[in-house]
Amino acid sequence: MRNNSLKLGLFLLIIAGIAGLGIAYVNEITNPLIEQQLITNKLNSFQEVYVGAEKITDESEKYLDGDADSILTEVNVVYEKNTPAGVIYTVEPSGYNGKIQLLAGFDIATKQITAIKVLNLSETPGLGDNAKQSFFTERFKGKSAEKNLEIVKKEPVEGNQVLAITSATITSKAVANGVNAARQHFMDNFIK
Amino acid sequence: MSLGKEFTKGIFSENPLFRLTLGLCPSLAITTSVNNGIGMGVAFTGVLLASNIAISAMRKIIPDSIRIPSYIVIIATFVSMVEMLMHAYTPELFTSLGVFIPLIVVNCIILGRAEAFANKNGILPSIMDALGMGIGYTLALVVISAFREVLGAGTFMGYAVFSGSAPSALIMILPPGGFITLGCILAFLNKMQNVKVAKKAKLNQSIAQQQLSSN
Amino acid sequence: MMNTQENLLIVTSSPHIHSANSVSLTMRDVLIALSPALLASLYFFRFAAVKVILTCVVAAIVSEIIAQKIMQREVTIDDGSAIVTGLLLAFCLPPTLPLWIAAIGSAVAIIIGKQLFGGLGNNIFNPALIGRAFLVASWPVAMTTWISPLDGVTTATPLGLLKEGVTQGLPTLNQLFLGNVGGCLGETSALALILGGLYLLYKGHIDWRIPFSYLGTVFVLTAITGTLNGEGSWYPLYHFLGGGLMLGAFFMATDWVTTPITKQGRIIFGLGCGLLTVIIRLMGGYPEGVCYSILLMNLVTPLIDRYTKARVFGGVKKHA
Repeated sequence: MRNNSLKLGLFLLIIAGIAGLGIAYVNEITNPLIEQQLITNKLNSFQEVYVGAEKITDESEKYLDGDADSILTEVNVVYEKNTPAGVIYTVEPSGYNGKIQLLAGFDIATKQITAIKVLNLSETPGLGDNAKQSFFTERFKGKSAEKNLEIVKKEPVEGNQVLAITSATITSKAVANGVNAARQHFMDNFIK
Repeated sequence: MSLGKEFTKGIFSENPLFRLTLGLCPSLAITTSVNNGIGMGVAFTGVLLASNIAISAMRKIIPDSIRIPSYIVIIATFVSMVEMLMHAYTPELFTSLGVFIPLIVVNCIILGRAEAFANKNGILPSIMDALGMGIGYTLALVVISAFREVLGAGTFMGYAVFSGSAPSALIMILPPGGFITLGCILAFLNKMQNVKVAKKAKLNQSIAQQQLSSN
Repeated sequence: MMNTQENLLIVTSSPHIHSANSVSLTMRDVLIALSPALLASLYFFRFAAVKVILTCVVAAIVSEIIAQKIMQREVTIDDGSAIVTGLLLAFCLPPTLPLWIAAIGSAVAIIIGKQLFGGLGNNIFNPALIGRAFLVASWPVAMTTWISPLDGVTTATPLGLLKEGVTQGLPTLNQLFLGNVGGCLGETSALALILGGLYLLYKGHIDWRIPFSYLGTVFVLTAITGTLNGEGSWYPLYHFLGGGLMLGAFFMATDWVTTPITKQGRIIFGLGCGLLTVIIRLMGGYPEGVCYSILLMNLVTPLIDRYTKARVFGGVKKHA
């Protein structure tokens, strides 16, 4: 009996071993491709929110210490001729249905939002889901970083107001919250 | 049973989704667009084919008492491979299918075919079985997702269907839409089946009566 | 002897066998009870109300006939229940809704909400609310576009304004009571709905337990949160009169088929509806929660009945 269960265990071990080898082999082939893809994707999205960025360095460790807002997850600084020219934040505010991951770019010289881009979200299709569409993200472009952005339901009258997505106020507000957190950090750390 | 029959049974008489009603959870979740349906169907068919071949080939050496864990290990291996391959070569499909690729592991159709077919039959019939079941499942997913995408998003495979201004019924691409669509399709197929059975019964009856009267 | 007595005492859950005649009589009384609200909506929203209400009622009748024909059931259109469903659905739709959407809502209410479950008496959910929930999920923008009464200018509902945190320029309690505010066709006038509800109570068609426990729960809970937040006494009254609460409490939550049959069960049902409504209104994403709270409580109705059913004394214990 004992002998038998040992045999069975050994058999499973062998199967699992072969399976492991197989997975390791496929991983070997695909991993570099996947890594490469993630990096290109990231650089492409960075380019989208800060057009013409030459050199981008991840300085999250320097800026995101204990005091920073916890929805900020990454700080990437854009350098031009070795002086910081802009900042790209990755923020993860909570939306209607889980976290929304988005990028927000800021320009140091003009103190403006260069652009925002939604990377990941799981909002209601057809409603909050529209937050990733350019018609909504365009509304943040060129807004001043000096004032808190505010989501409104009717055509904005003030410079710091952003028109909400119809019937998706919660998602719109979540995006604005994320951008505001980044904006605050930007004003505190990069504008003297 | 002939090889051809092993192949066609998965598409019609034993369609995994519409007839055996297996693997409902991922089917309801991913059928929000036809592209998703096809992608899931192809990934599923790949895994089923590989696992059916492997299990059929090893059916004589896998001890009976640990066959289920062995199957799970084999299936999980193929799913991981498919996941990595999709991530590397079809990143867009990978993002839209998301969490449902790893869930192919627990899709009961695959384990079901391993247990009900591959461990009793040779490699060739198992291949036919896997292809038939895979295509049947893919077709079923495409049918469901076609209804849902056209009604819920107004598009078919991403192309706009309605040029008018009537906004489409969002609910169809939300979870309730999946249940409503599947329910209606199943009801329709069962109705068809009943009609067919009733017709057959009538036919048999009339034949029997004819025989009786001729006797 | 024992047996017959036992049978008389046993409370069974629906469906009950009843003649179509008694159903149609009751439906007539329900229609009478709905008429003040109907008049109010015609007065406040004029031609828009006529169009939506007619569309809903006609679509409900047509859907019922078609569904019963296809399912080879007896066509029971003359019992009036389809008219009531269509009217109730129209009452919880915005006046500006495109008519084809209203018609789809009616068809969903009758076909999916009622006939697919087996027809009148077998439905689990209130059909009109199923229709509304379907429409809200499908066309959220059209379903949340409101106009103010009489002048037809685009506006927000009182509860919508409250949710937005608006404090200035809210409609007054008086307006809420009479119904001179933006909202669904039949929900705006609390006065008309209360009149209709009292008529149904007087006629004995509905049990006071559900509306009273429902309304009471909402009032008490909002009074507590209002006090905690330092709001005045207007706050609970606002929640009490605003939105679809009156319509829901008197006409939707009292539907015989989809609500508990025992006395305690009905009180539990009302408490649950009230609690869910307040939770959705104050903490959820929507300004109004009456529709979903009643649907959710419909779902647990069989469970409530099971745990509150009166024991039969003197009988032999049933062995399963």
